[in-house]
Amino acid sequence: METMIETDGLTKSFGKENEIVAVDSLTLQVGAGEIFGFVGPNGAGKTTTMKMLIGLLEPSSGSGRVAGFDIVREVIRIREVTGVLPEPAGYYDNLTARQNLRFYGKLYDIEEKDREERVVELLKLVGLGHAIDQKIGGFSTGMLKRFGLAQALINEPSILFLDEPTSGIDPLGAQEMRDLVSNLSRDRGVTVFLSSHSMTEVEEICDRIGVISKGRLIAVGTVEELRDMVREKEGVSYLLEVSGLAAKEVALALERIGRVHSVEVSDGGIRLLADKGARMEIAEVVKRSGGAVTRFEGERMDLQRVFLRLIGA
Amino acid sequence: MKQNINNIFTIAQKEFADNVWSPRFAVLMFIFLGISFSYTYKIKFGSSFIDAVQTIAIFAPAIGIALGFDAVVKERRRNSLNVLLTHPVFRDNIITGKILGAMMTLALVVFLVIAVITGTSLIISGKLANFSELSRLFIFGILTFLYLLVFLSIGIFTSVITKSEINSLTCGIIAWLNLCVVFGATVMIIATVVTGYSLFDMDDNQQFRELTYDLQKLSPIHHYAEASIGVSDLSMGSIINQETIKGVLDTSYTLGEWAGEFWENVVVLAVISIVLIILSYLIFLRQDITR
Ligand SMILES: Nc1ncnc2c1ncn2[C@@H]1O[C@H](COP(=O)(O)OP(=O)(O)OP(=O)(O)O)[C@@H](O)[C@H]1O
Ligand SMILES: [Mg+2]
Repeated sequence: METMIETDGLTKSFGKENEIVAVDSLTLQVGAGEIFGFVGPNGAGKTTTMKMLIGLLEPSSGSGRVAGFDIVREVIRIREVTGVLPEPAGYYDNLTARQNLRFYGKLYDIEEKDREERVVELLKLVGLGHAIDQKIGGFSTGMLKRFGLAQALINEPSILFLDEPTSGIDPLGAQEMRDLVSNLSRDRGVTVFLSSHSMTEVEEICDRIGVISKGRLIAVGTVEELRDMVREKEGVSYLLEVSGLAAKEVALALERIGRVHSVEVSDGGIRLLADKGARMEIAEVVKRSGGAVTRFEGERMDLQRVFLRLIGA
Repeated sequence: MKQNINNIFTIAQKEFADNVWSPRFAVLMFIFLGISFSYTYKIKFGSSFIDAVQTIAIFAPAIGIALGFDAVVKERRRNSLNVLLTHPVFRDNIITGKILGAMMTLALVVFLVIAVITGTSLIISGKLANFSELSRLFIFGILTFLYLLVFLSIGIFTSVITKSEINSLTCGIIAWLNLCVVFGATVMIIATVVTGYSLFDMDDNQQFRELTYDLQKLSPIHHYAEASIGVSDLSMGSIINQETIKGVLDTSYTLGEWAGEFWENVVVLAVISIVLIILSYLIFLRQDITR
């Protein structure tokens, strides 16, 4: 797969003595047509990363390429082939949606007739068909986000950078936004780099997710790979039910296994946290103690917990 | 390159339209054209043309400030600069476009003012200006444009260096009041304090007068007043030194003679604007505008 976005040791620090390291040695690749989710808490460095990728900020060190263009030396080339929904974003309140979009369109080499058509088409696409000639000043947060997406698409970009595309909009609107983004990727092969605060929000549409915290990229992979990573590090939590033996006794036997970290007896059965590969051994120990396993389930960790574990909260 | 020029025009065009259609601009123009009309009209009743020029000299700079003060700061504060910069435009295209758009508006202002003044004179005297007067009027228009451009540049400059529109406007208004309105009075006070003489020491105020005229050179209003009607100041309460050539509209001298006498004033006006604009450029290009 062709690489559309790549960074190598990308770093940005602020302050007089560069004491605030907003992005720390970031190295990642995003392939063509991929939807990449960039997830991290407030101040993690998501926006700073995006700004460097579209040439709004110069990196302190490291390098990067977007669509094959250098992020320091070929900024204008990058902007010609990318669309960006920045955060925060503002438009011209005194102009209508159509006038606003037309203005951005004029910044590209597009025939006037095509431009006018595209303006209307895009506003309809993002669900603003009813507000084409309304002043932007009267738009709600959700409408502004939609407009932001239209604005990012005016040059038919092959790469989209979306900084928190769903923040501040209602659940239905957020769902529509996600659908729009995944349709764009599917139908037009657009590569998408989007940021968010929440894993659960991006898992639905993202092919891969990068987790960033305090400027460092902590983990990259598909949702399942990230889950595995947490399991690898922290063990898996299991729910175990045994017949023919008192739960207390089973617990005692299990605690002696090195790969089992904790055992807890409750009404529902025995909860234990163990290494990922310890399943067989656990079943074996129960059997040897004279019990029969009636239920043995690995608990599926919910994504937000995966995220919190990853960022070490 | 072609796209760059295109972008500059796109931005300039938008700036021009924004200005012209803004209620603020309409109100200012309405008031100002009204004043120009009434002053010119009063000429009929013995008032001199100098009054009409004085109105321009004192009040029109407010329009210059109004056109410039929010040019950059507003876009930055409303985060529209954040969006604009994600499109393929260079920063210098943005500021160039803005300055150009504001200058276009200013040209329109000057044109309207001159049109009102000539129109009114026409109504009063009932005759069309002859060709030589038209060309003089044209030069007067350019002078007025250059003069107001200084204030537009001040507005642009404060819009680049300040963090909010209100700060920028405050700086602009302070500059305007000091340079155009109370300037003459301030100069007089300084001259009095420094020399110990005053205007009322009839016999021995040579030193006082010389210092006054020197100090007057510090304000754009002096250079405008000199070149347009041949007086050394037009701000309120100022002491005036009358030149032999009464400015560009004085038909008893040729335009060549006028230029020989006043070219320095014209150059000074242009240089002030150029310096301010260059400074605005340099600061804007180095600014972290994404925050
Ligand atoms: N221009 C700047 N000057 C100084 N510090 C900055 C600047 N820009 C960003 N920072 C700091 O860099 C860090 C990362 O900021 P960034 O905006 O990239 O975070 P983020 O992940 O986008 O957060 P959020 O989810 O709140 O948008 C923060 O600590 C921020 O304060
Ligand atoms: Mg951010």
